[in-house]
Amino acid sequence: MIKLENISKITENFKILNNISFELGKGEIFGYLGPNGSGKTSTINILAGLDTDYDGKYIINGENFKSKNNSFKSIIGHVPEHPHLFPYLTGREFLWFIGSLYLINEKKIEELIEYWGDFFRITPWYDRLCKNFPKGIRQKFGLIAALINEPEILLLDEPTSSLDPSSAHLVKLLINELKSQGKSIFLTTHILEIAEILCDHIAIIKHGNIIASGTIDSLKQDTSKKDANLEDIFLELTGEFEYKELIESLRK
Amino acid sequence: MIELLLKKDLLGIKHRITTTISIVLTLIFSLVIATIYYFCKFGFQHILNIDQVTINIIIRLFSIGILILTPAVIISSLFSGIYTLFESPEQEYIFKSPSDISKYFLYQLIKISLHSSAFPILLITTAIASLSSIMGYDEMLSIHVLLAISIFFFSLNFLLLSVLTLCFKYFKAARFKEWIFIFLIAFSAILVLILRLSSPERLVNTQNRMEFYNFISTLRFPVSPFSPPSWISQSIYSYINTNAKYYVLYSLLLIILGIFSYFFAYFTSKKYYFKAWQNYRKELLIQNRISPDRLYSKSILGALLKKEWYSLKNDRIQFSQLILLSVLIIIYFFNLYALPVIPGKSPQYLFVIYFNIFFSIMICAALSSRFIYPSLSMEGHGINHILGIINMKTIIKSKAVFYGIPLFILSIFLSLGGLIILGIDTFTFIFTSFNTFLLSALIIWLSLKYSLKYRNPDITSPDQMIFSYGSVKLMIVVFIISSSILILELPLFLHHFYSNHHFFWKMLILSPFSY
Repeated sequence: MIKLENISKITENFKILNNISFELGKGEIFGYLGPNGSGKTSTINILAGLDTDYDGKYIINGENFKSKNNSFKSIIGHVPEHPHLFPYLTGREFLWFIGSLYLINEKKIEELIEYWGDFFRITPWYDRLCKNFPKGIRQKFGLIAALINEPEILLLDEPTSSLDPSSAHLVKLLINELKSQGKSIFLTTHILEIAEILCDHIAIIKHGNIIASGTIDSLKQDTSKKDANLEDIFLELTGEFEYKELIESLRK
Repeated sequence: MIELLLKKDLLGIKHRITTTISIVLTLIFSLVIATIYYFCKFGFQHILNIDQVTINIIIRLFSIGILILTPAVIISSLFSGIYTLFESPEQEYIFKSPSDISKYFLYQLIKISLHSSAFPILLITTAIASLSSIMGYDEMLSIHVLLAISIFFFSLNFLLLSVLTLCFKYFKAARFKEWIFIFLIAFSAILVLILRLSSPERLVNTQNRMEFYNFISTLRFPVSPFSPPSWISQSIYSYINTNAKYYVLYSLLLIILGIFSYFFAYFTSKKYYFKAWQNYRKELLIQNRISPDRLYSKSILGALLKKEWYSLKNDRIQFSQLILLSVLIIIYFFNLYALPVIPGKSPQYLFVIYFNIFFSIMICAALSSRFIYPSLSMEGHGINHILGIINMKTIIKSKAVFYGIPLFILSIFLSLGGLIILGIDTFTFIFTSFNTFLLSALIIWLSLKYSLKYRNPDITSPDQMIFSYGSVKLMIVVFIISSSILILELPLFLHHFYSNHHFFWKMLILSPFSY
């Protein structure tokens, strides 16, 4: 569904992304991991079409995104890391507005609003202004806004970062359910456990370069430890293993 | 210090300051010279007892003022156009084929030329039209002058554009841009000196009948028999004297100049400029998307408008301000009603009816800076949600419809309502409508433009946005533009007010704002 070929991005003489290439197939979950400032959000902004100032090719359904990106808008749902909603709209008005922009009919929007409200247990927040929402509620509204159009591709930037454990669990179930429906999901996360459970394919990015890519099993084979989990692989590949050893020595 | 200012672009002041500086400087200069000359020559008595001769003198002085203002405006607008081209490239445009590139150049070329030539051409036409009518010439002359001057200014633009294009080829684009800025500041100062040498005030001579040719000849600075500006004078002079031989020669010279400069600019731009522009574009971090056809569907616009209404409705602070506004409007109308001014020829009456336009325009500007300017920032970062679906152009369009139309109606209601209470004639009514209509549209457009340019998603409070740099700049720019236009139009209005002459209807047709 999605294919990036040698994507590079330079801002203020700083190379944010350097020849990034990967592929996301239909019904797959692609985990995109990396330390802070490694270029995860920049990649997701390019995938969402929010940033078109890059070199390289972004192919979606066999066609160049840059030349035809409008026709792809309706098939992509994007949840940013910090969903900022419209401060002077109520929750219901916000979701109605997003649904209207996707040209969904009013009755269907109402049904979807009620359905997702019950699912995420946020119906009591529907008649309050978005500017008063706490972080976790905003994230849930961001998720609904991305899902309201039933997109084929979902781009999730740290979807559980502000959620409580039960909501985070709900999101994990949701991601699995969406996968079973054949949706393709691109996921960036710092919670390696989530990536390990959910993702079919993982890429690790550091300083704008993909340093490892493949299934979890193939990544395990590449590391020195045979019984390594994803956290060990991540720390070894990103060169941050020494921190783990340091903490262990502190414990001792 | 200058280098630091240029590099850091402190307060974002670099963008349009050149235009504003040159307009203000030249306007002040021309008005000061004209006023000093008038007072020295005729004293205060004429001011107090305004008669037809005095009005004619004032009109001449203003016409000369316009001529002085024009070259500064044209040059600064041209450079400003170049700035605009670099600062906000058509980021949504994607070049697919060489023919697209050609179309793009053609479009940019016409855009810059129109931007930089339109205003001065219109100003000059007003000046010429005023003078030719006062001196008894027909309006055909004004049209002829307009054509000749238009060709010249367009040619000048095209040639300057070609030169700049060639310079871009040999200099680094970013550095060259900074040089343009420095050159422009220096040019504004030099221009004042050059124009001073042409001594336009010698034309204000009530003893002898002023020759039209002399007036036209003030266009020729620096004076040269072979320079294109003098071809305009020759062409118009031979037209007045029905000298067909010279008329054809100079008109042909002008037309050939126009055609040559146009194609020269077109080919140089096509060959060299595109690459420079593209390189520069890479340096800009612009995030936007192409506008799809469906963005213009009624449903999307409807959804955006409904969202605007919800936002307004939910922000209760706005209501108190709207109530305050309506009270102010009632007070204003009541004041006009209760004003001890008798309709007639009194200066007080003139002042009130003329100031009424300015008042409604300033109200419109204040409301624009309160409602339109902060509206985009008020969306906060939430706008990213919808930018993934629709593009910025559509959002701006919805703001224009939602806030612009009511504001537009309000300012027309204010100015015309005031005039109806005061009891005015048909001409003043049309004159006021015309000015209010155009100035309100300009203010709304500027507010939208600034709202995008100075958008700060971290400040969602409109009260904070009102005191931001963009809002203050908006008020200053609106004040300068409105006062300039109203000052420049004052002589025409005076002529009508004191003479009741049909000439004014002719002026309306020939006035720049009709084109």
